[in-house]
Order: sequence, then C-alpha cells, then structure tokens
Amino acid sequence: MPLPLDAERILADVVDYSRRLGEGFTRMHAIGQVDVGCCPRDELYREDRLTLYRYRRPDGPAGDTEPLLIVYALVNRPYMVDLQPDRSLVRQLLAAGVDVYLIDWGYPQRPDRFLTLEDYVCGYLDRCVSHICERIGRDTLNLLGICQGGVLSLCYATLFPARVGKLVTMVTPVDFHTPDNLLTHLVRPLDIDLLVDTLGNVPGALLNFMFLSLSPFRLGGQKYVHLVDIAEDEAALANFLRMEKWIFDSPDQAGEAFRQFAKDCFQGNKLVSGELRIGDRPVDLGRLSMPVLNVYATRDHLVPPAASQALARAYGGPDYSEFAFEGGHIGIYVSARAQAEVPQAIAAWLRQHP
Amino acid sequence: MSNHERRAIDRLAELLDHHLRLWQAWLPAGQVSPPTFAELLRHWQREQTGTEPLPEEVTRLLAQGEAFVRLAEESVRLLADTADTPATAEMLARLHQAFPNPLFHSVTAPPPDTPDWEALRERLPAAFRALLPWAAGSDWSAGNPLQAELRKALGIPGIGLPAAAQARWTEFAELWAEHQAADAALREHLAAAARQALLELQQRLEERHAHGEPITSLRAFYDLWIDASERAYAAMLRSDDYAQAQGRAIHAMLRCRRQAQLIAEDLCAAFGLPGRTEMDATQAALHETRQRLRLLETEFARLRADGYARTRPRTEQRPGSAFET
Repeated sequence: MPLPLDAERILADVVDYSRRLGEGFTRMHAIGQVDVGCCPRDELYREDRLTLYRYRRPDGPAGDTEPLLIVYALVNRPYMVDLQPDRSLVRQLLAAGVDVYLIDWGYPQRPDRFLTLEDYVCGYLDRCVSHICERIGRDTLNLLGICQGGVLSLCYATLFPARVGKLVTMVTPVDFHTPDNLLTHLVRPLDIDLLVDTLGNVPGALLNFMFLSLSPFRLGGQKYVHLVDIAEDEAALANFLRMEKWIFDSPDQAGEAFRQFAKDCFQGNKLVSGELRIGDRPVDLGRLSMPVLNVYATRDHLVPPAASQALARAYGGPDYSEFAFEGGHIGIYVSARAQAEVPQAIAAWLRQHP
Repeated sequence: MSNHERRAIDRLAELLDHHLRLWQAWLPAGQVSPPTFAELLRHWQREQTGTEPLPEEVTRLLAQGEAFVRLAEESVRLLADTADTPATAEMLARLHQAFPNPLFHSVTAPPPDTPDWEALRERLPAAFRALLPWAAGSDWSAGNPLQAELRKALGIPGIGLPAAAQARWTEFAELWAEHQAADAALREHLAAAARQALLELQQRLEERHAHGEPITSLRAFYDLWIDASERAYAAMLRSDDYAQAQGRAIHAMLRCRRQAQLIAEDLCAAFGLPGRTEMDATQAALHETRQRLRLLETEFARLRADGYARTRPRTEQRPGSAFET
C-alpha cells in the first residue's frame, strides 16, 4: 500500500510548522511566569505548612448558605480551583452566594515525613474547621472535598459528624478496586514500605510522572506538537502555561500519610470496606448521616466514575445525591462546560438543603 | 507583539526560507544531506536567548516540536530515496528507526548534554561492543552462567576495607545488577508496545486507504501514530506482566538507593556527621513533640474557654466554641 505523501508538501508543512513553533516559543518566552489565582482572599490561619484562606465575596447580595470549606488533595496545588477569572470554581461559587474557605496544605518538607493521615484529618483539618466555626459563631460548616481531599473529608465527616452540616465530594475515589482503576493496578504490586522507608517523603515529581505515564503520548508529546495551533493567541498560550504550571507543581507527600493512603486505600481498599482507621478510630462510611452530594466526572481516567459512585452504597444516611459531569478529571475544574454547570449544581444543592 | 519579538520571528522566517531552498535543491540531486530543521531551530533559539536556561514548559515545547520536525525530515528523506510513492511498510520502518521507542521521546525530553551513545559505542573495543546486546537487551537474571560467575566474583572477600563496608559494597553491586536486569526487562515491555503501536498504525493506514480516506499530511500521520501508540501502551499498562515488571524495576531502584544511603551513612559516621537514620530519629521525636504541643494548646484553650464561660453571663456565650471536644 503506497503512502500518498509528497516531499514538497511536507517541506512546506515543516517550514510552516517551524515558523509557528518559533512564534509559540517567542510568545511563551515573552509571557514568562504566569500568575495563578484570581479571587482576592484573606489569610485566616496558619500552622506549619498549612494556610487557611477565606475568599472575599464580590459586590452583591450576601450569600444565604453556610460557609463551605474546600479541602483539596495533598498531591497537587489547590489553585486549580481558582486558576484564572474564566476558569474558577471559587469565583463561580462566590457568585452563587457561597461563603468559600480553602485549605492550602503547602509543600511538606523533610521534617514533615512523620505526618500521618490522623495528623491531617484530626489535626490540621479539625483545627481549620474549629477556627472557622469559632470565627463565625456556628457549630457546623459544609465541606467540599476534592479528589484525595474528598477522602480526607469523608474521614473527617465520619469522625466528627457534629462539625459537618453538608458534605460535597468531587471526583473522590471511594472504591479503589474497581476493574477500570489503572492507578490501583499499577500501585498494587509496589512495596510501599520500601518506597517510604527509602525516600522518606515521596517526591511529587515521582507521582506526577506516574500520572502522566498513564497517557504519555498525548500528555507528553502530542499536546506540545499541537501547541503551535495556538501560537498566535497570547491569551490561549497563557492559559496553557497556567495549566502546565499546575500540572508540574506537585508537592512532595509526607511519608507516613502516603504510606497509609497507598496501603490502606489503593492496596487494601479499606475505605469502602469499613476497615480504614484514622489513628485508633475506625472510619465507617455507613455512619455518615449528613446530606451528601457526590460529584464525579464520566470520563475521569484517574478516578473512574464507578470508584466515586461506590459512595452511594457505603453511605448510611437518608440524603444522598449525585451529579455526573460529562468530562474528565481536570476538565471538571477548568472546562467551559464545568464553569457553567458544576459550581451552580453545588450551590443549588447547598441551597436546597438548609 | 513587541518589536523585539517581531524581529525574532522575521529572523526565523528568513532562516527557514533559506533552509527550504537548500532542501529543495537537495531533493532532486539527493547527494549531500542538508542541515536539519531541528538544528536550525536550535540555532535560532540560541540566537534569541543565548545560553540562559529556558523555563521547563518552553523546553518541553521545543523538544516535542523538534521531534515532530525530525519525523518530517525523515519522511522527506524517504520520499527522496524512493522513486515512486513510498510503501507504508517502508515508511513505518523509517519511523521505527527514527523513534525506536516513542515512549521515551514522549515522556522525557533528552537533557541538553545527552552523550552521543551511538558514537561512544563505536569507540568501544569490539569485544565490549559484542557484550552490549547481552547487557542491555534482555533479562539476564534467569540462569545466566556469566551472571553466576559474576556473583562468585562479588563474593570474594575485600582487601583493605573493613568487612562490613565490603559487604555493603558487595550487596550494592548485586542490587545494581538486579536493577540493570529489571530495567532491561521493563524496556522490553516498552519496546514491544512500540512495535505493537507500529502494527496498529499500519492497520489503520490500510483501513483508511481501503475506505478511500488516505492520509495525506504528516500531521495527520503523526496523530494517527499517537493514537496507535496510546492504544498499544494502554493495553500494556493494563497487563499484569507489565505491572509486575514495573514493580520489579521500582523495587530494584529503591533497593539500590537504600543501599547507597547506608554506604553514605557509613561515610558520614566516619567523619562524625549525622546520617539519615539519626535525622529520622530526631525528626520523629520532633513530630511527637509537635503533636503533644497541639494537644496541650487545645486543652489550654478549652480550659480558658470554660473559665471564660463561667465568669460571663450566659447570653454572651458564643455558640460553637472552637475547641469544644
């Protein structure tokens, strides 16, 4: 079978491609460092590497909902929820009248390697919740746990049910052993003790490499080759650079917390089976009784929908809802459709559950 | 766009025009190969930014852009070499030759000072060269007599080093050998996936040809190749064999690293410096102290709040004390 390619045409294409590559290079170089985070916020509390923020409301009517504390994953930086004005979950929630708080876990350093999941859940998270509750004079607040942060939030809501009014989980794995969970498939044969005992804190770059290696040709090659298509669009290039910054901005993971998360969740699947323990306290999702909204992405390659939907079976309370977003694990924060659907769905659900 | 940026892009256009003429002149004659577009891009980039290190994202863009340009050049050379339209199989063979394992091109951009391994290999004595395929090309841990001999040699008592240190180095050598073997086994999986990707690519090209939708642009060819590679790679990732091979490679790497740490600790101890174990013990103690401090702070706040509540009228008590338990 012949390939109908023409040398002259390829030469013309490669000249055109090289020119656009040069343009992209020049513009990216000129843009330099990009800013992330667009909504003004105030620092409320700081402890070790952690910072608790409250976002300022835009001009407009005060919200009528309880405060919502966003608990992001430990493995990436939380500015993904407020990347830029037209890609900001936080901005949309504020616009919908929600009072938004966020925990930035920071970058664990070498001395933090002995931090456990108990330290994160019963220590840092609980002290943030307490700080907010005391500040606003309430007994409870609402939690929005994202990805791994959703697991932390589920643990917290189970252990401190009197503190959580409503719980929203977003792209949160609950059953780690669904057949389509590629990460689990690759993590299960690993000797996690050897990994943590050898490395101490687990390098963020290692985890990032693992995430990218699930789709290396698209994420490591094609994405950059196609970048020349937006070489003339400075705004689009700046968007691209913000995403790149986020993707490769991966904090190291505190060793002991990583050890327990990888062994108990990825390998032991203990969250859904009810065998997970935080410190000496069991995490029984069947004891959850507050209203729960579970938001998942139908094309999520990191947290397959079935892994999230397992919460429906594990949840023990009377008020469980799901919201399925047609998109992927990253698109649920930043795609145009997500901006129009996800924050509104969360805000509406919060309003419907006074 | 600033004047400086405009000038940079005009300069590139000028270089590309010149380059295009060189290649067009070369096409019919096919004698001395013209300089590559990738070299031109790199030359232009250095003209613009000098030797200052580039941001990582820009480096990734350039690396992958150059990979695409190399693919284009390889295609043009193939078209120049063949009198008629090239057969798909030949094109794929060139593709495979240019990118023997596309995964490595996709996942990691080569560091700027990567040695020319091919040239280095050619400078090795013939006997060494003959050993290379054996050393790098297959899993040699299973029943290899040479390895057994090597292990015997590694067991010879050391001369001049304390027995404990010698034992650490011996173990390190064995772990390193296992690392090499595990790495080679993993690479065999990756190479097999790359070959499978080419087969899938050929199949897709044939399907499109049969449906009267042949590929006519290199970009479409590249995209098809990426799709085929992703499919082949995904199938490999999902296999138990690969998960085991990856686990073995990671474990081997970690064991080497752990052993190197032990050796480094010995060295530190010899100079009275704290090593990893000592630092870990200190940090564990620090962590425990931090936890106890938090508990004391919480208890103190609770007691203070209780005292405050007892000394104030009930109407002033705020609901939801921060540290209630």
